[in-house]
Amino acid sequence: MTKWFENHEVDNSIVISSRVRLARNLKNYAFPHKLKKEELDSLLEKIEAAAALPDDKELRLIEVDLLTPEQKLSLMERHMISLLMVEKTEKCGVLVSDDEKLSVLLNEEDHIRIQSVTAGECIEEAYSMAMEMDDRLEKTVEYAFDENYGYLTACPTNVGTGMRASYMMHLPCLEATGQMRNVIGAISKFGVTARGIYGEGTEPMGSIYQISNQVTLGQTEEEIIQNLNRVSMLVTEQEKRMCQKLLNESRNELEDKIYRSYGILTHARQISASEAMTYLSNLRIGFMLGFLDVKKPKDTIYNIMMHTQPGSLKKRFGKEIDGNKSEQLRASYIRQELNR
Amino acid sequence: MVCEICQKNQATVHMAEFNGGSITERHLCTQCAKGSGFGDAISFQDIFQGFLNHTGEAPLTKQRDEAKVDVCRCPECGFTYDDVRTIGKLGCPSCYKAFETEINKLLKSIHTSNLHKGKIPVAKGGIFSIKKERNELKKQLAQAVAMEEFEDAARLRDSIRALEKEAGL
Repeated sequence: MTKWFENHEVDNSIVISSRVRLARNLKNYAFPHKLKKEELDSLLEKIEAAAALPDDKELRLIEVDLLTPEQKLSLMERHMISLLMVEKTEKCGVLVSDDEKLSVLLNEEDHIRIQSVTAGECIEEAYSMAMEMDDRLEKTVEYAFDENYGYLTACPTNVGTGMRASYMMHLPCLEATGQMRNVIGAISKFGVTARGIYGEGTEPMGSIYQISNQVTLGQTEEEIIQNLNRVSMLVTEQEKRMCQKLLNESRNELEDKIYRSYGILTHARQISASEAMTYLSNLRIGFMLGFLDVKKPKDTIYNIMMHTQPGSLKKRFGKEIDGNKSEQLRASYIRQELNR
Repeated sequence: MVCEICQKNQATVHMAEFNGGSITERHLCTQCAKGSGFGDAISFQDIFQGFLNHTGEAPLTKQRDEAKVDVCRCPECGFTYDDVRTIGKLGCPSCYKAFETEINKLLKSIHTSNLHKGKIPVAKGGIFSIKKERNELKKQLAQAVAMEEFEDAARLRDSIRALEKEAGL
C-alpha cells in the first residue's frame, strides 16, 4: 500500500501536503490531563469500538505509550503523532489507516484528534475523510458539545469547530530573499499562522512551513478552508515571484547552489540533519525547476527528508547511535537513495 | 538519545549551532531547550497562558474579579479558574459553563467571537440544531418586541413554544 508521502505528488509543487485535524472530546469525561486511570481505560475502549471500520479498511492501533523513544520520535517525524504525545507517559495511542492518510489520536490534548493528510494541494479530500470519520464516531459516542461554544476542547484555542486546516509548503525562494518574516506578518492579518515542519513549538527546516488557521470559533468549516485557500494562493504567488526574481538576477548562482547540494549529498561521508534538510530542499527545487539533469531518486525527496530525521534514522538502523555515527549513517542512507 | 544537559529526559529538540564556520549538533529535551533560551519558538499554549493571566483589566478590578472567580469551582471536576490559568487548559467540558463569564471574554479575545457557526453533531435526534434554531428565534423575538412589532413577536413566541414542545425542551 502506497503511503501518502510516497506519492510523487508531494514533490511536484510548492504545496507538499494538505491536512485537516478535528479535535473532539466525549461528554461526561474530564479532559485528558485530568482523567483518572479507570476513566481512561473505559474511554479508550469506547472510542476504539466506535472507530471500527469494515475489514478491508480497518484502522491499525498503535499503543504509543508502549513504544521506544526512537519509535515515538519516528512517528512524529512522519507527522502521525505530535510532540505532546511523544512526551506523554499515560496510556495513549493512534488508530491509523494503511496508507497513513487517516489517523485518530487517542488521549492526546483532547480525547480524540481526527487527522487526515493528502499529498499535494487537495484539502477538500482531507476534509471529507476527516468529516466521514467524525460522523462515524459520533454514531456511537456522545461528544461534548455546546450550542454556543461548539465542540468543547481542553484548550479554548481549539473550541468551536475544533478544526485546524493546514498546508505544508516549500518556500525556499521566500526564505532565500529574506521575505519570510514579511509573509508571516502579512498572513497573520488573515488569521493564518506559519509554523515549522512539525507544527507548534518547532523550528522551520528545509524551508518547509506549515500554514494553518488560528481561529476555530465563529466561522464555519467551509469559511475557514476558503480563507486558508486564499492565503495559500497568495503565498504560492509570492514564492513563484521570488523564484522568478532569483532566476532573473542570479540564475547561475542558483544553479551552482543546487548542483553543489547534489554533489555533497551524493558524496559526503557524514552530514547533520539540518545540513541534509537544506541540501535536500535545494534538490527538491532543482527538480521542480527542471535544473537538475541527474537521475531522480526512486523515493520522494520529501520521504527522504523525513527519513534523515534523528528518530527515523535510529529506527531504521535499530541501534543506539550518537553524534558522528548518526551523521555517517545519515550520509550513507542519502547516498544510497540518490544513487539507486 | 538523552538530553545532553540534564542527561535524564528524552532529547526531542535537535538543532544545529553555527560557531564561526563550524556546525555543532545539540540534542536537548523541551525543558532544557526553553531554559537555555533556545525556546524561541513560543508555542501558542504559552501565549494563551499569557492571555489567561492578563485579561487587560485595571489592576483593582482585576483583583476583585479574581477573588470572585477563584472561589468558584467547576461542579464536575473541581477545577477553579485559577487552575485553568495555571495549566492553560480547562478541566472538563462542564468548566465552560462554570466559568462562563471569563470564558466568554477569553473566547472573544482569541477568536473575536464566542458563538459557534459550524458543524453540529446529529446526536440525540438533532437536539443541538433545534436548540440553535430556538436561540435564533428568541433573538428575533427580542428584536420584534424592541421595535414594538407585537404581531411578529406573538408569531415568533408561538413558533418557539411549538419547537420546544416538539423537542421536549
